[in-house]
Amino acid sequence: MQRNRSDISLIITAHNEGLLLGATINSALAAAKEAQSQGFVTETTIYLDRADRPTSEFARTLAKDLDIPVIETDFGDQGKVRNLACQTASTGYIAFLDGDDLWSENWISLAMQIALKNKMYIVHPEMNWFFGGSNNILLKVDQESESFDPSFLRAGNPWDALCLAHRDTYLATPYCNRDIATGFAYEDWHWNCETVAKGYVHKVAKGTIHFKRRREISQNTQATSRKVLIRDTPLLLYPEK
Amino acid sequence: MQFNVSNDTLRIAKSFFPELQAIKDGKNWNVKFNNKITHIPLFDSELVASQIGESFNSEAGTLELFFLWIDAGREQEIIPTRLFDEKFYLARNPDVQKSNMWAFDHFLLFGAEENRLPNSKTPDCAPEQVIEMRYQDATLSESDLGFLKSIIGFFKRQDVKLAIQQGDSREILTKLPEDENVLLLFNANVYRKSIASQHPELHIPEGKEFLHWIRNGRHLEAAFTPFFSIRHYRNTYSDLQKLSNEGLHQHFLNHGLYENRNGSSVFNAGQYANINRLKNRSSAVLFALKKLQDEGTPIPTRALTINHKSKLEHLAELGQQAELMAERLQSPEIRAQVKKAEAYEPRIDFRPQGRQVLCPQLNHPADDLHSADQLIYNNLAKTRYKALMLIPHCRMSGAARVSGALAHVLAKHFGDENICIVTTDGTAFEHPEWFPENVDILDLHKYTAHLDRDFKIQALVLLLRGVNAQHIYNVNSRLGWETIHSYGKQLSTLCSINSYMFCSDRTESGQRTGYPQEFFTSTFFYHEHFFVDNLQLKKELVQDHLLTKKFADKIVVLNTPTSQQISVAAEPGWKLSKLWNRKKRVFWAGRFDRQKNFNLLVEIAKNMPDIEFWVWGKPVLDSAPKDISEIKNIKLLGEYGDFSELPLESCHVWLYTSLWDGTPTIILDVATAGIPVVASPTGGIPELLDGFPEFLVSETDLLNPNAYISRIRSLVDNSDGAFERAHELQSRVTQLHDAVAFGEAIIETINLGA
Repeated sequence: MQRNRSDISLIITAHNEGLLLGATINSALAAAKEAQSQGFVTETTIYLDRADRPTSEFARTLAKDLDIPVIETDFGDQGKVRNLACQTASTGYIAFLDGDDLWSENWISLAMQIALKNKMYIVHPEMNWFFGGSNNILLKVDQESESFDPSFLRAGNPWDALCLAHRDTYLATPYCNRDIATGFAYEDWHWNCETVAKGYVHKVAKGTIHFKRRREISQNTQATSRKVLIRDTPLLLYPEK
Repeated sequence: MQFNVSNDTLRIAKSFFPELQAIKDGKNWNVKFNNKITHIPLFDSELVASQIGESFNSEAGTLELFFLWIDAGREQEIIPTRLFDEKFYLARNPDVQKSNMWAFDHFLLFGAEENRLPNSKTPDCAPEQVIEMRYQDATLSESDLGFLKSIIGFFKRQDVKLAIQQGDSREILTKLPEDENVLLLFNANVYRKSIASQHPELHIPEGKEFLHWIRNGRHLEAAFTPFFSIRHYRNTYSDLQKLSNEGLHQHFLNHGLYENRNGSSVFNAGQYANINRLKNRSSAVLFALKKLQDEGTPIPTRALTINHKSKLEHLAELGQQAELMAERLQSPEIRAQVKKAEAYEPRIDFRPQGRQVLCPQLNHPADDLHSADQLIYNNLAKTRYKALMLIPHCRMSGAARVSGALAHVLAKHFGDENICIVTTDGTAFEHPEWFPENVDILDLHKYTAHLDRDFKIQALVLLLRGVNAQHIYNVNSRLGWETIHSYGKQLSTLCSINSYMFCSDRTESGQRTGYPQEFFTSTFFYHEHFFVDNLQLKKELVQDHLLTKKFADKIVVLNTPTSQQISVAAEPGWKLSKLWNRKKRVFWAGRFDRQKNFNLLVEIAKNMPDIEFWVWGKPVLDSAPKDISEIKNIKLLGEYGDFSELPLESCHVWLYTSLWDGTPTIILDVATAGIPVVASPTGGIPELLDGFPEFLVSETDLLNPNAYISRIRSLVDNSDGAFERAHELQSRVTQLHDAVAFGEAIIETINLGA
């Protein structure tokens, strides 16, 4: 199939979000509409990974009404879902959204304007706006800004996985498997380290927001409390002096 | 740069630049500026540009804009500073009101020089030359004195306090800048930069920054330290939101500073106070600044580690950036997007206030860890090591000596350049001579002392991964144990983990406690090997956990090598000396604490008045009995640096009374020196003294002074026989505790792992 370089797949991954998925899809459709108004072609897909019954039922009826394809998987691992979505997608660009989060309406169009400038760009929103169990705001740093120091990645994750990038980027650097049992997690952080090490550039789309719902305990919080570490990545080695 | 200006324009320009040279050119004047001008006091270029409708470029346009303002802006009555209050000026100066002259022109041409006030709070808003003249002989107003009185508790010097109470302006101005707390907290460069960015129209004479702050800055939002920001303070503490800028300054200097409220977003004062165990109402900010000034102790902040005063300016800038980020939430484009999303999900709740805005390298939760990691990296001699040895610190202790012996083996095996010794729980390194000369030593504790426990552990993990260590050797490092406990599962997939254990401690009620109880079970499967210095401990661990041989083999008993420094008493020639024959002497050395059973020594000494007890050591964990000095036959000799320094030629018997132990290195030293010993039956001692019942107290007599007394008596009464047996023990110990065998045993574990 011929891929249009400026087409975008909007991948929504769901698991046990239930009705929260409604607001998520609403925001995705609004962002898609805004992007379409700027001339971008979008296609939305819902991935249900080991989804509970209410989520599955709700997602399917919603998808039917909205004419959105649904793909069910049995990974229990968001990384694997994302990898599959990238392999399956027929578009040049891909953006991910978790089933309980929301995008700002301008996200896709503004992120695409940046992504199209350079295939090596990975675009993040300007901020994560947490709501629900937290009211923090996390500002993202543009890798090309003066204040960015790559050594920060050794200590913390300045971005997350809900980014927009070229499909080839995801295919060249798939997400690693989630495996809490071995004590290694933080797949998003690891992916960011790997892509930085490979020369990709993490950019920020000013004025765009991801609204991140904090429900009970997030996966990252779980990871922290379970004493897990990020997998090995070249950035963890001290640079030679 | 040259301008052709009218008479009127020249007149106004000269009130800003009195030295301006002008050459008549017809009706006009040619004025020339030799230097590039980017800043004109009393003239806020950005403000004027925004009002006059010009795009402003400070590189090229300051002077153009200035002359444009003189010619066109004044006609529109654009006041080039936010600090000139026209209504206030007119109300206070009826003569100006009557004159029909534009108030700002009047102020500029006459009022400023006549010391007429431009507003009610910041008197020093005036042209540069006026301010320079004013500060040559500046005094404090009643209002300034009232303010100083209101923060009098902040000042440290009594003469400053007295001068303030007496309202002695001259005395205050002389002494105040020398006050210790002012010197610590008030940073002239930070203040100057902050004023320049917020009120570029204000001119501060050189060296008069603190006076300027008292006269003006206390009413403004300008910062004088990175540890206090008016905006952050007001937004963070809801109880203070209604206070004026002056009121917030007063609150911080009187209360907030000492309550360890966070005065800015870049420093967590409460956390710092907790970690450093500061007393109630002891200011973390002042404490940290004093430690930086006096001892060079770095200040950990959320943005960067301050290891030099000069970095405080950068920190203040970062703090300002963090505040700007918080303001970004209020911008129309962000607000519009949030409002749209709120339509689908009302719980998003657009309320920028009260939210914490986090940004990496400014105030992110991982910033402390990142800055500590960078300090560690910067202080590493090399960036790759094959093996890291974790020790708590290096003091006079058996464990430290064992770590030295282990380091020698590892250095020989891996190469000096491939191992690094890391002190994790303290900075003391009192016996470098125990370690190989060319091995790198990293004081991790120094760079992580400010971190909370979890971050300390993570910093160690980052170090281990950063240098790509293939082998970890943990010798009594608590941080090492905690790290293996928390992340041993992952680390064991990256490198081999080996830990040394010596003995279990005992609680007051006699229960076993310590590292073998705390960490052995939880970290067993992550370890390649456990090293113990006595068979007894291995037996204890095997029994406790019903370990089968396969698992028990993981515990390797290593006989600590005897010291090479001790001169072996091949022939006790000293027995001929007068000192030897005059009095019998028993030596004892160790900490005066419960484990070493110092009280038993006291009891024994009391019952052997004819014998002198020469004692080395000091109270460490518990306090020593108060009445030691009353016991005439105990001679306290303080601490010793090395066993070989002791006057062994005067020793008849060495007494060892410990209640629990591994294989004490001091008993190895005594045995190596060929000196008779009477020792308690703990840890590895029975193994060591196997076959020497005259030296070893039985297990049932551990606490019985008479059992020790009878042995000491028998040995001192028959010195020849005692020394003969001591020589036999000497041969046994030097054979069993051979350095080569010790090294081979360790290398065997490495080869097994490989």
